[in-house]
Amino acid sequence: MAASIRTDGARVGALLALALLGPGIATAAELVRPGEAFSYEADNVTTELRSQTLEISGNVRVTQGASSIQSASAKATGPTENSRWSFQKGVRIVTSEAELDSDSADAAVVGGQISRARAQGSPAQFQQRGASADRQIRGRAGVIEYDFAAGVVTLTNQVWFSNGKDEFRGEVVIYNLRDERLQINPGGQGRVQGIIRPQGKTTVSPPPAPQPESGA
Amino acid sequence: MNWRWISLAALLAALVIGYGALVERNPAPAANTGEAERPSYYLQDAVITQTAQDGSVSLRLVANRIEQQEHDDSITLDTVRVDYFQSPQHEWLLTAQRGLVPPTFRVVQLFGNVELRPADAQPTAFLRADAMAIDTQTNVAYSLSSPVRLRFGGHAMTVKHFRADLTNEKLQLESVNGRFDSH
Repeated sequence: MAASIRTDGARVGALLALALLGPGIATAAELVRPGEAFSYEADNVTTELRSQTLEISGNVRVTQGASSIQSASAKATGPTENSRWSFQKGVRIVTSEAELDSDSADAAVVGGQISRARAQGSPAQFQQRGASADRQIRGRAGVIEYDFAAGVVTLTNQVWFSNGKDEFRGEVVIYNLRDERLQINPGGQGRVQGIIRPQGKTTVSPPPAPQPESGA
Repeated sequence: MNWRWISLAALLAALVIGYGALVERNPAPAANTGEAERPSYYLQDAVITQTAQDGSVSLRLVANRIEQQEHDDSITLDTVRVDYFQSPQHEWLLTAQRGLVPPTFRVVQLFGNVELRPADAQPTAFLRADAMAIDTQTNVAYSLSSPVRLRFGGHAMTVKHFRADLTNEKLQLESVNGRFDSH
């Protein structure tokens, strides 16, 4: 099935059915099931008896079902059933569907379930799990939002996205991990740049991450 | 004829049960009572109050039974409640199944479903552990064993150690393994 990309700016709103992904992508997600325990571990936790805000440091790991978030430090506020978590340094989010790496991330727990996460980095990186190396769905962006319940990742701010063969650049990319549908710059936000390679020309390398500017 | 046998059996059973109850109520004395701790005094449904230099109440111990041990003057408490006045305006409530107070009264050790809470806080603001010590001089509560299981609001945890600074109400936990638990 052929996919088309319209690159003429204002009319862009490309909706790609990535049938070219081929087999190997996990479509049946096994994420958080209601009632699964939300647990966490860390080297140190400091908290206040009244506010119950948790300041967590050292090998932080939050787990619920098949999903986990790791970082060097974290802070949790609000009542346990509906709390907000802020993760800092070396953040890694793993579910049965995807892996995200970022400098920082915020996550919301709603009704005792990890509901969504917003990862920020320079850049933050996303990768779908379960694909073969030559059909690997990957993305990089300044911000990656992950809706755990819907299985949708939204990448914004200097997005690079690849299915292992083709690659696209834009400002906003919305990718559904379950039906594997991809929207690039929905609503006509800027131009889309795409490279579609012929069969046999595979294995796309992600662009190098920007180096921090030296002060000298 | 049958009724005679039944009555005889019932009488024998009553005798056996009665003898058993009598033996239970009068256990044989221990062979060696020399090592048993003897209280120099004990109080039932007692309240002990410790005052500060200015005469204000600093500690109130309420217990079903309080015993002072003869050999070291320490005090043991059963079913205890402690009203700890860190300052006249800042009161902490502690409850436990058992307690131990040394002669100096400085560190109060509590055992068995120990619960610590600020007197004026929400019901969810509490710390519960199997055992806990309160240093009344430094205003610090800390764990007595490791690892220790504790509950803190909606969190259930196993930690290596904990330390609660009662002055700033901050709780420090080491090597934490916790989970949300609303029960």
